[in-house]
Amino acid sequence: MFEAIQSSYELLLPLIDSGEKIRVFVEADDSLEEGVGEHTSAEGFGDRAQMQAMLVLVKTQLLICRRYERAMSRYKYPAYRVLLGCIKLPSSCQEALGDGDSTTLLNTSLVKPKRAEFVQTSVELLYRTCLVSPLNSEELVAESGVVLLVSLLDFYTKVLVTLSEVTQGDRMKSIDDVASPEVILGIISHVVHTLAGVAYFESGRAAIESSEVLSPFLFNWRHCVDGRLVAGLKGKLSDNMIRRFALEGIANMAKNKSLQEHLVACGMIWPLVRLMLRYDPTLEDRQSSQDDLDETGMSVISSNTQARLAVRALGMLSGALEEAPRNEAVTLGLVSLLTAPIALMLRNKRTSEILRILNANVEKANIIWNVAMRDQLEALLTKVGKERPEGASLTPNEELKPITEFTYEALKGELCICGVYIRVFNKDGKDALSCVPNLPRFTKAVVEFVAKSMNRSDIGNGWTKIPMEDTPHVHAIEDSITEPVDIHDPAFLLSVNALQTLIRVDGLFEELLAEASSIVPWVLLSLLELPLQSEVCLFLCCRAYFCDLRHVYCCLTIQFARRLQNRHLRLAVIC
Amino acid sequence: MLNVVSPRQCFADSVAKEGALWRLLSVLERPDDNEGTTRGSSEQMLKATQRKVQGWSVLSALSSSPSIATKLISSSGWLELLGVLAGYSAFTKSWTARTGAAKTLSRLLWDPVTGPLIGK
Repeated sequence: MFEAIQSSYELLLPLIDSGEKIRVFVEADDSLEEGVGEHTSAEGFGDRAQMQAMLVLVKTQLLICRRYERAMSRYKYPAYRVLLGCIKLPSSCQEALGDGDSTTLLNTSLVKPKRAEFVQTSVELLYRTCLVSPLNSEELVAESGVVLLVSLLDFYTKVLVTLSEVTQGDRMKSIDDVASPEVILGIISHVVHTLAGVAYFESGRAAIESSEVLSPFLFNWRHCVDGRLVAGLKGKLSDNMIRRFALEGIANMAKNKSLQEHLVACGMIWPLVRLMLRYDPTLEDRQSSQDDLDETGMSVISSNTQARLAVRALGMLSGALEEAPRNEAVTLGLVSLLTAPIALMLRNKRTSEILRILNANVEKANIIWNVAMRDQLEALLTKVGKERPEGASLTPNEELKPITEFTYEALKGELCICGVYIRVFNKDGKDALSCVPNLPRFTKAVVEFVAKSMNRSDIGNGWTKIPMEDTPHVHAIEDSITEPVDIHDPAFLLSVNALQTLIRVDGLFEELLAEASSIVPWVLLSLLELPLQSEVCLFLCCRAYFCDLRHVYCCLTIQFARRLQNRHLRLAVIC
Repeated sequence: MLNVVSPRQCFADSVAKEGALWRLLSVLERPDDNEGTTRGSSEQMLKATQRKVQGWSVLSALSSSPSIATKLISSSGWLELLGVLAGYSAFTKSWTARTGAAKTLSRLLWDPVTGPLIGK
């Protein structure tokens, strides 16, 4: 440590030698805050000088944390109690929050420029101490830091919203001097970043869960994601970093079952799905580094980063990723929103594939996604955004109610078994086999679908049902049950056609036939009992007839070849 | 589809194991709706014949495997085939069916394992 301070001194020494003046904290423009403002900004401190001294101390610690991360990682930060005491909401701020008057709120001490700067520096130090040594976050939780950060987030979010209202209404003249939106965004950014990091630990999640103001906190968190923080502010203000940290926080918080449910209840799913649709696949190759994610404007690269984080957050909220508990309601909701095969991709750690598909036109055996479907999804998101009651915490069923009646026009009439679109599968033939994620499971599902459809239909002529065990309730997306159809339905013909392709795959049916109480022989032999006028029967007869013709043609060719004198010519004809 | 799968040993074994052979036999033995009459369209009759031909070729392919051949002998399957061949009243009397039954029975008789069993 001594060496570190010595090197800092050596860094400053040439400046002094060259006659340059080192800036001290008290500057000329401080005079603006003198009088009433001076007293207000230092609320909670003895006087303003004490606050300035504390600020210098905090800045020094911040400097050390930034420059000597490795050295500092060995030490436990010992002054959380003091630091948290400095940024605690004074009583006047709490009263102003309850009062709801914008002028009162914007005249509170924590909104004054110097005090806001102090808070910004302090929360940055909180974040840095946790960054250099993650175990410090446990200490921060033990010192009730989470409660304080939650209250700070609530206060500054409200200040920002009020500020945007006041700016739009041109009522700024009645407010004395207020910290710039950039500083307030900086505070929120550090608070969100720290909380997101704290949520990584079990103790941090427990502290957040036990918060008395959990619901309002999660709504503030949602505003960090949905872009409402800067929506009303003038100028080029960016909340990209805040959104990014908030998304990381969602992924961490969703590890806790209760927090996961609360996040869903406050409508977190909708902004996440919207963020996924902002991905630009053309910029995939560009590596996004920390430097790219600047605060100026919504750059496309940061949109891509946010889309990736949104995918991960959705995976955690639904429980598709292993680290999070499974949430059945969200899983089913996402299956409706994104279609089963795409929702299945939420479990992948690599997020590029799902994002690329969602922002392109794809028609494969396991995926159908196009611009029309994307537009329909965006329309639904807009509708939910307008109709959802603001600030209301809903039950999972209420929250996902808009999805229950939602179906894609493009997918109406598409038969999807085990996450495979049968029409496209038949169209692509054997090439489609590589698209099927689990071929034996898919084959089994097709066989079961055919069997159930036959059992359901009125085949007549002494038909005995195919003996089938009741399928137990399934939980996996890929096992989503497809309702059986009538044998005269075109979907039945499609399924039989798919079976025809699958039966030619080497070794596939052998596996199924070896299973105990396999229904494959029953299904295949039962196809002979289908009514003659059914389309499937016609299809199978034509195929058989064609096979017979081909066989006759081959026999004739071989007979002809055998009569040829020339051996080479004979071989060539046979080939 | 059945033409592809029926020559496979595993399919024959599975049919024997699951006891699904009766379903095939019942289809093959069942008289057609318009059998012995001139009613029904020629297209319908052609389809029925094609299906019968296909069914009998499936049985022929299956009976070449030991598991199905043994099953046919141990059950009353071979007797039913004899009934089809002889034109028993409850069974179909179509030419295709009689030819198919004769083929399968001859295969069973010529088989060194099942042939002696029929004689007993």
